Amino acid sequence: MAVKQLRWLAAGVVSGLVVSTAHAAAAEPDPRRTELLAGVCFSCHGTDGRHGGDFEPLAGRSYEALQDTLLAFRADTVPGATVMPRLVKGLDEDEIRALARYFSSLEASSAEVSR
Amino acid sequence: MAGVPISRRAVLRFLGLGVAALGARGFPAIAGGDGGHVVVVGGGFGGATAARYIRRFDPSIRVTLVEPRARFYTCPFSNLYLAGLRSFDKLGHGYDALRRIHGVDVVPAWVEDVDTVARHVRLRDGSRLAYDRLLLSPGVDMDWQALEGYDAAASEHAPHAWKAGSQSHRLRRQLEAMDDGGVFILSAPANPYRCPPGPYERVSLIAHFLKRHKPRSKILLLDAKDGFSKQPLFMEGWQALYGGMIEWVGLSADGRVLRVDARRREVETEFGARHRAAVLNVVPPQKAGLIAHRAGVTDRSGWVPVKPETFESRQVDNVYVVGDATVAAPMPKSAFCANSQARMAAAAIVASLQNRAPPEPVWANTCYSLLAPEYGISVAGVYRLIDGEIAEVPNSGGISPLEAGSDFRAREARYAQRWYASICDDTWGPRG
Ligand SMILES: Cc1cc2nc3c(=O)[nH]c(=O)nc-3n(C[C@H](O)[C@H](O)[C@H](O)COP(=O)(O)OP(=O)(O)OC[C@H]3O[C@@H](n4cnc5c(N)ncnc54)[C@H](O)[C@@H]3O)c2cc1C
Ligand code: HEC
Repeated sequence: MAVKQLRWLAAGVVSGLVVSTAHAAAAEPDPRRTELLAGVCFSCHGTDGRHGGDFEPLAGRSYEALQDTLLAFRADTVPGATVMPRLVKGLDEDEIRALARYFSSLEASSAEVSR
Repeated sequence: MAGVPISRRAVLRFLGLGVAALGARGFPAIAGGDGGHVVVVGGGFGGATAARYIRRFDPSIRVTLVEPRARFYTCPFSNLYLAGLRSFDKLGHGYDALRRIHGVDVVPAWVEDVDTVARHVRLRDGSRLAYDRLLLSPGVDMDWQALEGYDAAASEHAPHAWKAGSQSHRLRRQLEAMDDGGVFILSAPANPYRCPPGPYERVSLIAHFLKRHKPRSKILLLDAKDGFSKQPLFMEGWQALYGGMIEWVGLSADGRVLRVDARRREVETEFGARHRAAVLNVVPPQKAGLIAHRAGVTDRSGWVPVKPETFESRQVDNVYVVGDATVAAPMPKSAFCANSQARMAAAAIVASLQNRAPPEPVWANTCYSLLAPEYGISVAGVYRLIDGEIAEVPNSGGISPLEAGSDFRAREARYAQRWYASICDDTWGPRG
C-alpha cells in the first residue's frame, strides 16, 4: 500500500478519536475525509455507527469483518441485501478499507463526549 | 472574531426570560468562541445537523442556531400520521441535546433579515446577531403566486400538508370526516419540489387508510409531470395492494392543475377538465424559504445556487446554504440530502475559519417510501464532484428491484423505520 494511503488511514483513525487536535499541516490529505465519508453511513447506522434502531452497531466491529462484508455487498454476493450494494458501489476499495478501519477503531457504545 | 452578539440578552429579555432563569433551568454557558462565530438559521434537518457538526469538528467555534419553534415536527413519516399509523407526537424533536451535549446556543426566534455586508442577522424583535459565517437551511415556502386560486387562505380549505404542523392536522381531520365513497384528490407539482416521491407515498398510505375504513372511496392523483420518482415500483405496489383505487393522471393525459377553487374543493386542469373532491390536497409549486431571498442568495428560479464544493452561495460571500432551498440536482430535496449536505458544509465552514482548503466532498441519499406499513421501497445515490458539478457516481445507486418478494418489501419497510430513528438522532442528538 502506498505511504500516502497509510497516512490517510491513520489520519482517519485519529480524526475519530481526537477531532479537535487533528489539524494536519496543509499539505497532508484532509484527516476529516474518512470521518466525512463515514458520515454517509451515519444517517442509517447512527452517528459513528453507534445507533441504528435494531442494527448492530458498526462501531467496534473487527476490521476484517467490516471490510469483508462491505466488499461482499459491492460484489452483490450478500443474499437478500436491499440498499447496501447500491450504496457501496459508489465507493472505491481504498475508501471501503478506510471505513472499515474507522468503524473498527471506535468503541461500540461510548456516548459522544459532552462538551 | 466578530463581536459577541450583545443582542442575545435582548432576545432573552424579549422572551421574558432573565439570564438567571435560564441558568436555573440548566442551560450551559455559551460554549467556544475563539474559533469564530457561526449563525445557523433554521433548526430542521439541514440546520440542526450543521450546528451539531460544526461543534464536533471544532469546539472552539461558537454556534448559534436560530429557530422559532421549540419542537420540530418532521415531514418524513408525516404521511404515516395522515394515514392514522403514527402519532403526531412521535414526529417531534427538541433542541435539548444540541444545547446540553453539543454546546449549541439555540435561540428561539425568527430571523427577519440578513445584512451580508455588516455580517449580522436581524431577529423579529429588532436585535442582531453578528456572524463570521452564516448558514441558512430555511427549507421551502409555498409559492402562493404560482397556482391560480391557491394561496394561504385557500390552504385552509384544501390543505397542502407539505410542512408538518397545523396543515397536517387539517388534512387528517378532513380524511377522518370524509364519507365512504368520496374522492380524494392530490395535485402534484412539476419539478423541482420538496421530496420527489412524497406525493406518491402519500396517496399510497391514504389508500391504506381508505381501504380499511372507507373502501368505496377513490384516489385521483393529478400530476404536472409525465413521470415520477420510483414510478414503476409505485405502480407495481399500487396494483398489488390497492387494485384500482389509485388513478394517476400525468401531464400528457391532462393531469396538470391550473386553477383551484378551494372552497368548492374543485380543480381545473390545463385542457379545462374539472374535478371535484371530497378532500382536496394541493401540493403547490415551491421556492426557497423567505430568508434566502432576504439574504440575496436566490436567483430568478427562486432557489439558491451554491458552489458545490462547499455549498457557499455563488452570489454572497460567507453565506452557506444547504437543504431544500438549494439547487443541488441531481441530489433531490430530501431530509437525507439536507443532512448529508449539512455535514459537508459544516466541514467546509470549519476549514474556512481555520484558513484551510475545504475537504473533498461526497454526499449520499436514500429515500424510503412506504406503500403500506409492511411494504417499503427505496431509491439510493452516492454523489461526488465530477468536473466541478455534483454528479451521481456511475454504476451506483438506483431503485429497489421490481417483482421482489413480500419479505423484501417488508424488510425495506423495517429499514425505513431504522433510517428515521438514526437520521433524527444524527440531526437533533440522542433522544432530541
Ligand atoms: C410529506 C413529506 C414526506 C417526506 N418524506 C421524506 C423522507 O421519507 N425522506 C427524506 O429524506 N425526506 C423526506 N421529505 C423531505 C424533507 O422533509 C425535507 O427535504 C427536509 O425537511 C429539508 O430540510 P431543510 O433543513 O432544508 O428544511 P426543514 O427541515 O424544513 O427546516 C427548515 C427550518 O427552518 C426554519 N426557518 C425557516 N425560515 C426561518 C427564519 N427566517 N428564521 C428562523 N428559522 C427559520 C423553519 O422553522 C424550519 O424549522 C418529506 C417531505 C414531505 C413534505
Ligand atoms: C440507507 C440506509 C443505509 C446507509 C446510508 C448505510 N447502510 Fe449499511 N445497512 C443498511 C441496511 C438496510 C443493511 C442490511 C443489508 C441490506 O439490506 O442491504 C445494512 C447493513 C450493513 C452492514 C452489515 C450489517 C451486519 O449486521 O452484518 C454493514 C457492515 C454496513 N451496513 C455498513 C455500512 C457503511 C460502512 C455505510 C456507509 C458507507 C452504510 N452501511 C450505509 C442501511 C444503510
